[in-house]
Amino acid sequence: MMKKKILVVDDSATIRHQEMATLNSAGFDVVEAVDGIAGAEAIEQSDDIAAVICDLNMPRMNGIDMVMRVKSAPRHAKLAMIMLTTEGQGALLRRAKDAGAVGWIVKPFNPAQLVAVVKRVAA
Amino acid sequence: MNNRDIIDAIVTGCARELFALHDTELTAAEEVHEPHDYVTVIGFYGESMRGALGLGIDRRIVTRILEQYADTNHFPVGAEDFVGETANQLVGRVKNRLLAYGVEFGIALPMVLRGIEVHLAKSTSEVWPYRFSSTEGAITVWFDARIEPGVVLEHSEGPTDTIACEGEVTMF
Repeated sequence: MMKKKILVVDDSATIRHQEMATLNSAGFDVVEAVDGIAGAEAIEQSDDIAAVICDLNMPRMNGIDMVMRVKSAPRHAKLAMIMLTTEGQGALLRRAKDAGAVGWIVKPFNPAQLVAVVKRVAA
Repeated sequence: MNNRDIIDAIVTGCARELFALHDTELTAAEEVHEPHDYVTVIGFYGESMRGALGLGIDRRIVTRILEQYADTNHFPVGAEDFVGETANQLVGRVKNRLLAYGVEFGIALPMVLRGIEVHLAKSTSEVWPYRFSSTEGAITVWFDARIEPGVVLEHSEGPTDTIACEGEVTMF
């Protein structure tokens, strides 16, 4: 059975490494992008990304703007996009939800919880 | 408690929480050996408060923490990136605590300082250093805050906007 592909988007290599190690161990194929523009382009150029884990504060394009750009294309209406960020302010969660994100995780993430969330949304 | 007391408690508490996740216990220290091997600064900007949080950390601490991420399947995590991300998470925790006091600010990207040695001055009226020792070396956090005149930090007793906590998962 083909592995589901997850895109992780974060300007921190430390976080991308942690995400990749966690999700690889859980049986996912993981690709990475270093900021919102690279993340959006990776999604636009691919047809097999099952879910996206995305930071908020990044250079060039932040995570919410990335979600808005991706969701502007009808073919990505059902793509699950989850924010992973240090931010916890309610107003930001609502902005992400309005943009089309399906979830929000405050760093640092619990590996078991991350896997559970990804398994749920990438099903 | 005055503004300084509140921020002292928040910053030191957040630093201890964050490094405890890496099995590093921090003990308050009067002085630490400087300069640190790694120094990073991350800015923040808001209407009532703006400035920067700095983090200095000794190499042995970083090396030990990164060993747990050693993985033959991926590139090794760089020490500088780790230090920058740690400062990011630290200021994020501080921000989330300050939300309960009515303070909001945006967070910039961390900048790891290279090629310079940083010696922190003794506490000034605006730059507040917090020095810690651990079994593997020292850490210094400093909070360089410009608080608008007249701003008094008061913990909100009434309804406030929700604040998601570290590690919390919210599905919409």
